[in-house]
Amino acid sequence: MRKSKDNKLIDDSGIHMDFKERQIFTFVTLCRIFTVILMFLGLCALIYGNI
Amino acid sequence: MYEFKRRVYEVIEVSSIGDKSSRAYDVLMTTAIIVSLIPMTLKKDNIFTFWIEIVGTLVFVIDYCARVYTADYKMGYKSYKAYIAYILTPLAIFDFLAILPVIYLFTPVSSMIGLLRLFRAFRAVKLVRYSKTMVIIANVIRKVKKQLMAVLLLITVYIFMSAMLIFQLEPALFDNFFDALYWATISITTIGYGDISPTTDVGRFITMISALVGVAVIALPSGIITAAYMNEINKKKSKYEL
Repeated sequence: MRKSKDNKLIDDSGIHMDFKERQIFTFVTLCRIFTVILMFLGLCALIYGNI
Repeated sequence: MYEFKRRVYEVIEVSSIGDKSSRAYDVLMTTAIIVSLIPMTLKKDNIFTFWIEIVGTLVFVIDYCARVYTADYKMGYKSYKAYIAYILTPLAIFDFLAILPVIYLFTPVSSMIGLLRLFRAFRAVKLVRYSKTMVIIANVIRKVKKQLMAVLLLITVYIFMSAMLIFQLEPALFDNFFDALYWATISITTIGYGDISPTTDVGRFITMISALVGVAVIALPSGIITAAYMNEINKKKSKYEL
């Protein structure tokens, strides 16, 4: 298995395989969304908690 | 299936260079830990602290489940014993304690369950995993555990000895033995609040001796840890040089 130029996985039969890439993208995006939500909540809690 | 478990393990552990998923997960966990500690710095809870607790606990529960799921891979043997052994490790116990505070959100505050809020402080321990230096320090402490326990015993005996002596020599100064223990600890650690101070010459002499010996005894753990830490660093250096 090798990586093509556009960063998509191609297996030996030449079939386009971007399933794993999509999985990684989904997981990373989910993590980032949760990170941003937590950061926002933390900032708001700090601002409202100290007024 | 085992391949999937290996991948989950790689993601939840500290990321290696180029692993985007693991990196994103580490950032999420670090953020969740730091943010979930914010409510402890506030006097009153608000709607945002409520949601921090919910979202934070959700992240911690998923993390805990993933860690228990990959326990056999981490421990290196396939058996139910691996799961039990993992659950009983100090970090896994702290992981579990970090989840518990969410219970108080759904129960009356007046009950003992309100004390669970204090368990949020244990979440800070989870940060240990995400710093390589902290991992080294944790390993060093584990290595010199016996010496540290010996010093701890020595300190405890010394505190009790000083407390018993001063309690007998200046009975008017202390209401109970706990006060004497408090005085001995504050004197030995050289903090010296001064709220309890001896009035007789013998009492003062005991205080002087106690403070002088105390400095030496209290300095022992830092010496042991520093020596072991330097040893570990030198080992790592020579490993890279070879």
